[in-house]
Amino acid sequence: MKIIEKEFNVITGEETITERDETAAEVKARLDREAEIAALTAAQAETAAARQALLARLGITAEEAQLLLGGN
Amino acid sequence: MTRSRDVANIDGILTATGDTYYASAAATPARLGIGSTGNVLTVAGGVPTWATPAVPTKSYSLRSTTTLTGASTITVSSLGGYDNFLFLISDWTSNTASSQLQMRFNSDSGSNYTYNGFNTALGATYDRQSINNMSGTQTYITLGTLGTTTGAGLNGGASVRLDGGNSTGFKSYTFFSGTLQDFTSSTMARTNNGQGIYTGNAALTSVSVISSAGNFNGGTLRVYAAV
Repeated sequence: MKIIEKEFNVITGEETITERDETAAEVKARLDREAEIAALTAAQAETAAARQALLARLGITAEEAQLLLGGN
Repeated sequence: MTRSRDVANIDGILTATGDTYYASAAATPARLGIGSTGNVLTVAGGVPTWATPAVPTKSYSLRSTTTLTGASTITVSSLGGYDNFLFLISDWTSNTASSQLQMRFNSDSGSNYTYNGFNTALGATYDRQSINNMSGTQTYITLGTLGTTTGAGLNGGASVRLDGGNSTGFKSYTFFSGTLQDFTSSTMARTNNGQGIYTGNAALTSVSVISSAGNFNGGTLRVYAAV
């Protein structure tokens, strides 16, 4: 993946644009972050599915469940 | 002039407690009476005088306004000579979901950003509301993450204040940030707040904001500075 960098010099007003390849550390950081996001998304989807299954078993809606809990 | 005459001359001039003996002109001894409590000795008209110490004033000026677009790292440089900075980032977005906003000083990617603070998550339902402490040392300052989807209104804002920018020692910073996310179709707001120490020793000359995934496609970085 290409990395585009811009630099603005506040004294000269000059703008410099540089395009380069990711460093090994940047590749690792990106892959780690993508894996972290994928795990988070999967966990949240799992939680949402479990909640929906429980609501279905109870025969109530999410809004009704919140009313029971006294929350928003 | 003999020493005995010098002593007699001084005794004749220093007539009160706290008097200071000085030369008001070449070979012209003179007396400076003590000043008031809190006064400092300064110079006026080429001679010493007691005066009320000046109260330091600090006035911030806008150094730059930069649109965040078309790159993943945007640096504002030639910021030297200022000791206090306020960096304001508004409405930042990326063309890639789940991007994290990061900040670095002097393009320093070393593990020089030690922080302590807390983050909050405010979701539509209880299981998505939380407050967590956070601390550690990173290679950047974390200023929030976009959600797994992008779209209108799903953006972030942040402010970072740095003190000691003109020093060649550690510099303290404070950060506040917030993002409006949309994880699995349920809107959630997140905040990161805390303080930290930047342990790079060079005086600050540049600041960089980084989109960890994809290029910025919106937002503004304003840099304010005071001497």
